[in-house]
Amino acid sequence: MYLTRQLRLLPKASIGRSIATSSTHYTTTTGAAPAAEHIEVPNRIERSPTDILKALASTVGRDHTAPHYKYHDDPFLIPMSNMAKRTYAMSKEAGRKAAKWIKEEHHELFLHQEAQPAIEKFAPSMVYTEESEVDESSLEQLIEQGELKDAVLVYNLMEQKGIALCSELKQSLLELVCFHNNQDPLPEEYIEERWFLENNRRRERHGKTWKDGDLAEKLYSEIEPKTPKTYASLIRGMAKYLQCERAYALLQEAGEKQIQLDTNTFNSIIQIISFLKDNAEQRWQLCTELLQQMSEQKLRPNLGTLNAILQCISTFGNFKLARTSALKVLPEFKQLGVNPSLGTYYYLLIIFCRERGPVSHVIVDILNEIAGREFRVEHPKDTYFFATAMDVCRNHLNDKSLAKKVNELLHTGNNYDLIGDSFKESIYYRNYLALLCQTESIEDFMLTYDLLVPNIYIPEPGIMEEVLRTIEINAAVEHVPRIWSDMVVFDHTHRESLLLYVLRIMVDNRPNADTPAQSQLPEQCAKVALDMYNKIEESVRRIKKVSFTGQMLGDILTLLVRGDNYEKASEVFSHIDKNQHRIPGTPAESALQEYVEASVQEKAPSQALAALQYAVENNMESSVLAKLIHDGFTLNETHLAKLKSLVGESFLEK
Amino acid sequence: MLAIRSSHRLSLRSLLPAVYKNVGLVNSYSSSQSKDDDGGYSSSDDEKPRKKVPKKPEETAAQRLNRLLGSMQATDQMSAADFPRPGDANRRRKEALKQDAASKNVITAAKNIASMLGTSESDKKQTESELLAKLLGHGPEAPPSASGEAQTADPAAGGGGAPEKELNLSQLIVGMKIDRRQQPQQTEQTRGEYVRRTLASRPKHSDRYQQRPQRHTKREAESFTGSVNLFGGEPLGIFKEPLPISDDILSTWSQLSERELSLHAAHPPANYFEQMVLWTEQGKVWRFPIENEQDWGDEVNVDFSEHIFLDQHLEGWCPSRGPIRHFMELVCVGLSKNPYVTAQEKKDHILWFRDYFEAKKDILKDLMDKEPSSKSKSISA
Repeated sequence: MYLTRQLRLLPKASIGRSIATSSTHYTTTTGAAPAAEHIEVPNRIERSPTDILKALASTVGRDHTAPHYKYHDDPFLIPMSNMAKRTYAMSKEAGRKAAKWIKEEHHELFLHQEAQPAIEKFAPSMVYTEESEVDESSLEQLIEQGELKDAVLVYNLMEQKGIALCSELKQSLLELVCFHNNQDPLPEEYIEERWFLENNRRRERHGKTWKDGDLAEKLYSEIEPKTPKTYASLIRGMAKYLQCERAYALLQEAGEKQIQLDTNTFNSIIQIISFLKDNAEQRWQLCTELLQQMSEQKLRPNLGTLNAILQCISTFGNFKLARTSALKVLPEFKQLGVNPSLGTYYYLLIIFCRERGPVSHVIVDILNEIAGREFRVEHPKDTYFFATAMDVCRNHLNDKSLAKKVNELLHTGNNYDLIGDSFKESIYYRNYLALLCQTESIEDFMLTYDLLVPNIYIPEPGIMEEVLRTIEINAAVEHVPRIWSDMVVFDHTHRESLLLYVLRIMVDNRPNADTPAQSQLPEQCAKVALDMYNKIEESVRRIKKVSFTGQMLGDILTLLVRGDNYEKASEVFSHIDKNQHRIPGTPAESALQEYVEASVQEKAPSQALAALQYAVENNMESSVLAKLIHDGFTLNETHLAKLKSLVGESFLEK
Repeated sequence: MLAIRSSHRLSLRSLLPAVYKNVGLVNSYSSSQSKDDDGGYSSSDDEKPRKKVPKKPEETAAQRLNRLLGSMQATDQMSAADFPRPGDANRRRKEALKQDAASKNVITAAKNIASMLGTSESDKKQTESELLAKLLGHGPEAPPSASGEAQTADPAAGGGGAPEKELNLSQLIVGMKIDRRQQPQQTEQTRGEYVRRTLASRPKHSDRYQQRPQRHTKREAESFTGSVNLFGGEPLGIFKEPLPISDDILSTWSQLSERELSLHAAHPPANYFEQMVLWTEQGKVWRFPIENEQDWGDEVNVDFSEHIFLDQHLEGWCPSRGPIRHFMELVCVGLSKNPYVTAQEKKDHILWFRDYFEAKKDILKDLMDKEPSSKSKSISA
C-alpha cells in the first residue's frame, strides 16, 4: 500500500531507485526499532486559542480568480468596479450595524441565553443612565474596555452623587480621555469601515484638534498633587491632537519642576517639533536638545523615538542636513540596540527620495537590509512603507527589478498585513502596474495584469490610459478586445479620451488577417466599435454623457467596414450624415474612403454617393472618392447625374 | 539665417517660391552629406512620417505635395491656414494641376544630382533615394535635433542668394514614387512592425531610447549618489552609556495604543479561518482546544460528587422515613440531574426545605395527630 502510493507520486525515471531506497529504508527501521532505547516526548507547547486557526489560514492563500472573501459568493454580487467594491463591503457592514442597533434598542428581545457558557458579546450591553447605580468598579471596567462615552457618563454621575474617586482611577480616566481627545473612536469591530476610511478622508488638513478646556484639562487640574503620570498623559494627549505649543510648554514646566517623565512622552514631543520650529536648523537643534534631556534623565530611547526623530528630519527643507542627520541617527540607535521597523524605512524613503532632490538609490540599500524578512506592526507608520516604496520605484527610479523586489517583500510571510488600508493598497498597485506597463514587454505585463485585475486591483482610468499606451507602442492590438471588455466592466466607457485611444489603436494597427492569431481580430474590433457606438448612444440618457465626434465616428466606421459589418457601417454613416451639424469635426478621409470601397464591394451605389456628397459638403478631398465610385460601379443615369452635380463634369471626362 | 526663416514663416504662400528655387541647393547640400549620414529619414523617431508614408503608397504627386505643405505649415506657427475654408479643395486641385505640368523632368533631375556624386550604380541609387528621403523626412515635422534644425534652416538661408537650378519640390516628390516602388513590401507593414524593425536595426543609437523613460534618463544624468551606508556612519553621540529599559509609565495609555496599533494591521478576513480567528478574539465562538468545561468559572473546582450525591445534606434534620423523607429524596434526585444549577445552589435549595419544614413543624404535627395512628407512628419515629 505504502509503495503503491509512492509509485504514483514519483516520476517514472526514479521509480526503480525509489523502490530500492524505500524498501531498504523500511528494513532498517524495523531492524532498529527494538534496539531503540527511549523515545523522547517533546514538551507540550502552549498554544493560544487562535494558533491553530492561524496555521490553517496560512495554508489558504489568495485565489486570484476569485473575489475577496468578504463579498457574497454569487456571480451577480461580485463587485466589478472600485465603487462597487466599496459599496458592497460597506453595505455588509451596514447590515452588521443595523443588527447591532436592533440589539441595543430592543434588548428586551434578547434576554434568552442559549449558549453555555453565556457569550458576553451577545448579551445586551449595559446602559448607563442618570439613574444608574454606579461605583468605582463599574468605572474601572469601562476604562478597561476603553468605553470612553460610558466612562465619562459614569464619572459625571459619581461626581453628582459625591462618590469620591481614588486617584489611580482618575489617572486612568485622564489617560483614556487624553488618548481619544474625549471623542468616541470608531468601534473596533467595524473593520470594513476602517479599511475604506482613508478613501473619503483624502488629505484632510492636519491642524489642532485638541479640545481646549475640556474634560481632560478639568481632570488634570483636579488631580493634586501632580504626578509625572498626570503630566505625561496631558502632554501626550496635547501632542497627539496637535496642541503643540501648550504641550511643549507643559514639558518645559515639568522639566523646571524636576518631574521625571518617560520616553514615550518625549517621543510625542519630538514628533511635533516641525510645528514648534520653522526652519530645519532650529528643528534639529530642538531635537538634539530633547535627546540630551532624555539622556540626562537616563531614559532609554525606543523605536518610537527613532521614528519620531526621523519624522522630524523628514520635514527639513534642507536636503543635505536631513540626509546627514538621518545617517547620524541610524547608527546611534543601532548602538542602542533599537531595531528599525518598516516605519523607519518609510521615513528614510521620504527623506532621501524627494521630488525635487537628487536621485537617491537608498531603496536598494533598504531592500538589501530587509529582503526576505517578516515584519509585524510596531509603529503606526509601518503601513506606509509599501505604498511609498512602490511610489519611489515608479516615480523616482523607474526601476522594474526594484519594484519586483518590493512586491516580493510584500508577499513574504504576513507582511501583507502591513499594506495598510484599501487606499494605500490601491496606490501600491497603481504604481506597480503603471511601472510594469512602462518597462515590461507586453506579454509579461499582461501576465501580471491578468493576475491582479480585477479581483485584487481595478485600474483607475489614468492607469487604463497607461495600459492602452503600452498596447499602442507595442502594436498589440490583439489585447484590445480584452481591455475593452474590462473597461466596460469597470465603467470607464464615459471617458472620451480612453474611447478615442482604443479606437486609434484599432484603426492604426490594422490586423493582419493572414496570420491565424489575428484572423478573428477584425471581427472583434468591429464588435468593440459597435459596442462603443451603442454605449455612446445610450449615454445620452445618462448624466455623464459622451458625445460623438467626427473623428470617433469615422474610426468606428472604419472598424465596422474592416470587420465586414457593412450593414452597421452604413447605419453609422447615415448617423454621421444626418447629424452633420451636431457632430463636431468630420471623419478622417481614409475612413470615408474605406467605406466607399466597401460600398463598391457591396454594390451599394447610393450609399457611396451619400458618402461622396458628405465629403463634398464638408469640404473634404472628394476626387478620390469620386474616382472610386466612377470606376467601381456601372452607374445608372440618376446616379451619374448626381455624381456630376457633386464633382463636376470635368472630372468624368478625364 | 533665422531671421530670414522667420520672415518666411509669415505665410506659406510666400515660402513656396523660395523653396522651389532652392530645391537644387537642398539637393546638393543633402547629398553631400548623405555619405556620412546614415539616412536621416529611416532613423527619425517622429511618429508622423512613420504613420503616413508607409500607409498611402499610391497617392498622386499633387496630394503628396499638399500634405507636405500642410505639415510644413504645422511646424511653423501658422494656425489659421490649417482650417478648411470654402473652396479650398478646388484651389488645391488647381495648384496641383499647375505643378503637374511643371514637373516633367523630375526623375532625370534627381538622377543627375545622384550621378554627380556617386561613382557606382548602387551608390547613385542610394544617394538619390536618401536625398529624397531626407527631404521628406525633415519636412513633415519640426526636427527634434539640432542637426535637423540646421537642415531646414539652410535652404531658406541660401534662398536669397543663388537660384541655381529650376527644380521644384513636386518634382522631387514624384521622385519619391520611384523610391517606393523599390520596396513595396513596406506598404503592408503595420506601424508597430515598422517601429520594431527600425529599433532592431539601430541598437547603437542611444537617442532612440530617450523617448519613453525620458524622466528616468534625465534624472539619472543628474547624479548617481551610489549606495548609502545606512547604519555604518558616525553616530550622534548623545546616548553613551547603556541605559535600563524604561517602561511606559501610563498603563492605560499604552494599553490603548497597543490596541490601536493592532488595528492598523487589521484587514478584513480573507478566508473562513481568519473569520474564525476574529470571532474567537471577539469571544463569539468557543476557543480552541474545544472542551466542554470551557468558561466554567466558579464550578471548575467543585467535584462532580457534590452535584450528584445530595443525600448528605439531608442528614441531621430529615426523618429517616416517612413522607417528608420520601419527598426530600425526590428533590435530591431531581437536583442531581440538573446541570444548570451550581452545587452551592443545590445545597441552598435543600436547606431551604429544611427551614421550611422547621417553620411548619406545628402544622405538620397537628395534621399527623388527626391522621390515623398507624401513620402518625411512622412520622414520629
